[in-house]
Parts: sequence; C-alpha cells; structure tokens
Amino acid sequence: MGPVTILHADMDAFYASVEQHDRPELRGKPVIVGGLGNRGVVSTASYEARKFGVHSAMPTLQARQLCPQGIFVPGRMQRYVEIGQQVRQVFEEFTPEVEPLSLDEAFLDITGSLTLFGGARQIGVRLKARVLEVTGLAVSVGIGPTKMIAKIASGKCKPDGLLEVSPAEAEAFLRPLPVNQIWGAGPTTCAALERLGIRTVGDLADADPALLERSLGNHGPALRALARGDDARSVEADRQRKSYGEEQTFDRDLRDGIELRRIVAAQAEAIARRLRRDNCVARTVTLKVKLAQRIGPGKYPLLTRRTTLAAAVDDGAAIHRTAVALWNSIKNGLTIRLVGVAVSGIQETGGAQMPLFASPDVQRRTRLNRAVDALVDRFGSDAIQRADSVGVKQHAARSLGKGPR
Amino acid sequence: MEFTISREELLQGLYLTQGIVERRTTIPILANVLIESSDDGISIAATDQEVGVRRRCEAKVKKKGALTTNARKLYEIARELPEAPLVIRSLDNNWIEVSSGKSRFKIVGLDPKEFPAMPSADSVHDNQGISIPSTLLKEMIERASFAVSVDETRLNLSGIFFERPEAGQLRLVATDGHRLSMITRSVEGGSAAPGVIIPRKGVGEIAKILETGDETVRVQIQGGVAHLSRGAVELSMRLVEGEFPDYKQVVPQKSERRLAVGVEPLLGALRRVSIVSSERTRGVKMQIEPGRLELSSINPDLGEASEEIAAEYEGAAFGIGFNAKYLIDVLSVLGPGMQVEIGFNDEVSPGVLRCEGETDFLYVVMPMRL
Repeated sequence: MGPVTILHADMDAFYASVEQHDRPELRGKPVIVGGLGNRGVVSTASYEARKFGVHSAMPTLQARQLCPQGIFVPGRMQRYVEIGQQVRQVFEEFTPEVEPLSLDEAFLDITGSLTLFGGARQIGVRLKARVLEVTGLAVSVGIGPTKMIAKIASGKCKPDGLLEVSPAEAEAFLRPLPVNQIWGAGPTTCAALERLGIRTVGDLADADPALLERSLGNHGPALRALARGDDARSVEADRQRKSYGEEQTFDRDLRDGIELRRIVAAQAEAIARRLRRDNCVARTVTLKVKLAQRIGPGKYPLLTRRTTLAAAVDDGAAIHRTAVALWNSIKNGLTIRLVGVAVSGIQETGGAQMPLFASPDVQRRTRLNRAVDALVDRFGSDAIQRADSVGVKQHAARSLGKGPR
Repeated sequence: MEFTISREELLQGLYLTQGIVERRTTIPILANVLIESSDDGISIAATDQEVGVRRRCEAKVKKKGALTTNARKLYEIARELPEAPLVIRSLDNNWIEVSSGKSRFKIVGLDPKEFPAMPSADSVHDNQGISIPSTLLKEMIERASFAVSVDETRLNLSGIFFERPEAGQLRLVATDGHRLSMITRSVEGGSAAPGVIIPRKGVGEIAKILETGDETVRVQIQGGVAHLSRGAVELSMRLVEGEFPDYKQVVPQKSERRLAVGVEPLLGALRRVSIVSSERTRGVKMQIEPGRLELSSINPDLGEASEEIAAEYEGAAFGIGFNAKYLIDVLSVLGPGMQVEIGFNDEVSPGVLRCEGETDFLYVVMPMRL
C-alpha cells in the first residue's frame, strides 16, 4: 500500500452548535446541552461555556456552579441524528471511504480524491464550506498521513480550523506533543512512561524498545511505533459496530429493587431493537453499575460484570435475563447512581434469514419482536413498552450517540 | 503384476476415483489408486478412508498381483494417449511402467500392502438392503442434495438423511437449517428402518455412479457404513455421526394461503430480479395478490428490480421475503413445464412448495425479514 492521506472531520461543539443554530437567541451565549436533573451529565458545552471550565462528561451540577449564567438545554437526539446524516452525506461527496466515529466525527481516506479536487488542503477548504452551506455549522478538519495525526491535527485547530500535516512535517508535528496525545496512552500508561522519563512523543519515539517492552509489555513497542508516525490502520468505511450500549444516570440514588430491574429491562429492549435493526446478534452481555458513594470530586466506584451466552441473541428478554443475573452476582444492598447494559461479540445474522429449527419459544419471541419493531418504526419508541418499563425514559437512557463502538 | 487393458476401460475405472483421492493429503498413499488382479480382470480402487470406490474392469492379466500409483497422473496419462490398448506392469521397488504404442512412462508407486482398506462395517449386524432403479435414485438425490449444508460446523446437516419410513419406501431429506427438501418414493424390499446420514462427499460420488444408463442399484446400510453397488462399481462410505434434526416438526401442517405458479416463469423472474439483490443475502420480496405475483428487490448500492407474473391466488394481498437462491435451487431441479404450489401462513412462517400432481415431494423454506 502506498502513502495515504487521511482527513479527520469533527463538528465543533456539535449539540450546542445545533441548538445555537436552531435558536438564534442562544448564539454567543454559554449553552450547555445535557441531562438537566441533579445527576445529569454535560453532553456538550458551547465554546462560550467552555471558557468557564465547563466540559463534556462533567456533572451538570458542577457546570451550574462554574457557569451560573449558562443556558442549560436538554438534548434533542432526533435533531442531532438528522443533522449528523446531512453531514455524513457531505463527507461522502468527497470520497466513499468514510469511517464514521460518531454522529459528528469521521475519518475520510481522501487518497483517491486528491487529483479530482486539487489536493488535500483544497478538499479541506471545500468540505468546510459545504458543511457550513448545508447545515450552517462549523467543522474542524485535520489532514495527515495517518489516522492519529489527522485526529490530533483537527483537535489542535479547533474551533472552525483546518490543519494539514504533510508526511514531511509529521515528525516535527508529533515530537513536541505531550505523550498522552498518543492513542492508547491513558493515565496509567503515561504514569509508567513518566517513570521512564518519557514526557513527549519525541521522547517515546527515541526510547529503547527493549526498555519499553519491559515496563509496558507488548503495548510498549506499539506505542513507540505510533510515536514514530507508524500507524497502518486504514479508514474502514461502513465499519461494523463492536458493541451496543445504553446507560442512565438516575435523578436519585436507587437501591436494588423493581425500579432498577425495570430500567435494565428497558435498556435491554432498546439494545435488542437496535441489534435487530442492524441484522445483528450479540453473545456477550455486560452490566455496568456506578455506586452512589463518592470517592472523589465527580468520581464514583464503577463495577462491571460480563458473561458470554451459549448462543448469540437479539432478544430483549434474553439480554434482560442475563443482565439481571449479573446484577444478582453483585452483592446486594448497594446504592447506585448509574446503570448501563451493553452487548458485544456482535455477529451479523446473514441478513434477516430466519432459521428452520428454532424452538417454538424462540419462534414466538421472533414474532413478538417483529411486531414490536413494526410498531416502534411507525409510532416511535414510546408507542409500545414492556408493562413493567412504563414510565422509564428511554431517551435519557440512550447514551447520546457517543457510546462505545 | 502385468496386464493389458483398453484405454476406454481404464479411463472409466479411473474416472470414478478422481473425486475421492485427496488433493492435499498428508498420507501420500491416499492420492493413489490400488489396482489388483481378479479372476476375470482387474479392479481399480481409491479411498480417502471416509468414502471408497472400487470398479471391476475387463483386462487381460498376464501376471497376477497388485500395484498402486498416483491416481491423477495415471488418469492424465490414459487421457492423453491415443485410442489403443495399454500395458501396465510393476517393476522393482514398486515402480510402474505404462506403455502404449510408442509411448512409455515409468512412474513411482508404493507398496500395495500399505494401501488402506475400504470403509467397512464395524459390526456384522445385517441390515436388509434395498434395490432401486438408478434413474429413480438419481432423481431423488437431485431433489435433495442441493439443500445439504456446506457449513462445516453443522456436521449433522452435512449430508442427506436416508430413511425408510415404511416397508417399501425410501425417503431422502436434506437441510441447511434455512430450507429443507424431502422426497419419498416406493422401492423394492426392505422393512422400515431408522434414518442414517450419508455424507456430502459420498452423495457426490453416488451421483457420479448414477450419471448414465439405467440399472438396479443395491443399497445396504450396515454398522456405520453405507454400501452401494451398481454393475461393476461398488461404493462404500462412512455415515455421518450425529442426529438429524426432527424434520417432521418443521413441515407446516396446513397453509392458510396458497399460490400456484409455473416453474419456468417463476424461475426466470427470480433469476432476473435477484440480479440486483444484495449479493450476500439475495433477498427478494414476493407480493401476492389475486391472480398475480410481483417479485421485487432493492439494493441501496445498486438499484432495484421488479417483475410481475401470472399466478393463481385467491385471498387477501400478502407480502413475504425470501433468499432467492433458496427458491432458484429447488425450481432448477424441477421440470420447467411443471406447476408448483407454494403455501404460506404468515411472513415469519415457513413457505411450503409442492409440485402439482406429486404428493411425495416437498420443500420447506424459511422467509427473510426484508
């Protein structure tokens, strides 16, 4: 494979910008989109709000303290999905090789389009103009020889920026960056690197591979390769999702009880519907629980339990059963502030071909699920719910499109 | 060993071994044929230890004995030689000489004593055999074999279920878990017997020995091995171990909606409409209305297609999706002039296809969600 040119496009403060675009009176004001309840979390803060130190994933309460004059609005997922699709279409005007990372962010392999549009920078300029024309919103664009460099570049030039890093400039671009900019270098890894005296990407690139392997295992040489700009990962258009998840932070702490099980049931049903929509089945079910007792500012203990089923499923009842069994395996009497269910081990079902030798029970479930899906497709997710889930807000449960993939 | 054989006779004997000898084998002798002298000629045999074939051939034996050499090379040599008798003899150290006219080949062989035995019954319990005209068995296999699973992980579906539901009856059933084909016919002899699974590779070899002519085939199932003989050919194969699924349970008892349509128009329309369907799923929608059937497919990457054909149907309009391949497969083995009836209940229940005027064939196919 020859050299490639990758473009990373990332909408600026996406949800907040959509709100400011749709409601002109919010423009120029600190807008904070997210869960508004006591336990809500910030999804996106406008740049005006970021000046006050508000950022995404921060508890809404903390954001209110930092920015009392902020305008707090609940998310309108449907609208964001709609605009996200428009943006995706604009991306596809430049290349079919689009790998979406979320609603508002994607990698584009523009190697094959360079001649057509007169170069990488030209593509960046035109893409920004087209996104603005179609959606009225700003997008930041990073261009580089690898995915990682393109993404770091778009982050550096935000908001409304365009930064091209040519292959010749890549080394000079990467070397001065702090080492935590490297993909896969989280806090633990960075601390280990710090102990080795490695602080910048340049330090890491020059480090002794044997030394890295001793203190970081296989991870070490891989990180060093990234630091040297070696990143063979290609843009994968239409990438299959690796997991589906739903989670919800409660307005008040919950103890083990019917209400929690109801929420888990609603999450399981929502996940199963998404699996069926994508003609997929999943084998592994993960339950995630955040406990209520605080262990630091904004920090709560997180428990996860997972299990792999004998056969992959797309049935909400089966996912629910498994999640409840996982819950029962966690010790009782806990007070929780968040619960989430996720499935992984995704397999495509070969389209929607139905099996001949399904047990009558499975056949009944298939019929029921199909009928439910048809109703939801037509009338929305409130049209039909499990009787024991009525009142559980599924919109809130949906992890605003930024969930794990 | 030394014998003279006509080119045609040798080719016929070797032809049947070609599908059985292993292409990539770790045991070199499994790529070979075993040629042995008998009272009235020679026999040519090959086995992969799961399936074995042996054919008697006319030959003038000058010196009795046995030899073994590469099956493909010997076949290629015989094919390229002009029409004339061949002389084959064994030399020292298991070398073989093949000569015909002015051509001479000296090829390596192996010790015939090392040649593995044909699959044979592991018990002497005798299970009565049946006799069946080869044309009938050929037709039955044709109507079942296409539905055999090619999924290596579903061993119990990787063959044709061979069953004698009642005395004087033979039934063949095959399924890949999405569709099922079943044909029942009257045969001579044999009492009711539980079914066995004939492996996919063995089914292919049976089809091969039935290709031409009409003779009686003798079928015997004994101690984990199926044994077939037809004229000069004997075929044996180890049965698939495992339980065939309860096929009767998936045959719908009744169909609320019934559509009658000609094989030829339906097959043609399916072939055309499925061209634009997604390559992986081959999904085609059937919209059924009184007097007509509309087939359509949509592929977001390519476009769409639809075609309407005349069909006999009375009742409420109804839509259902299928993998076109599953319907094309079955229609392709039926006579183009035939009329088929397809029964449905709802869009998530299996469709059942029957041939008009035949009660002993049916095909069950699960729909797709489209």
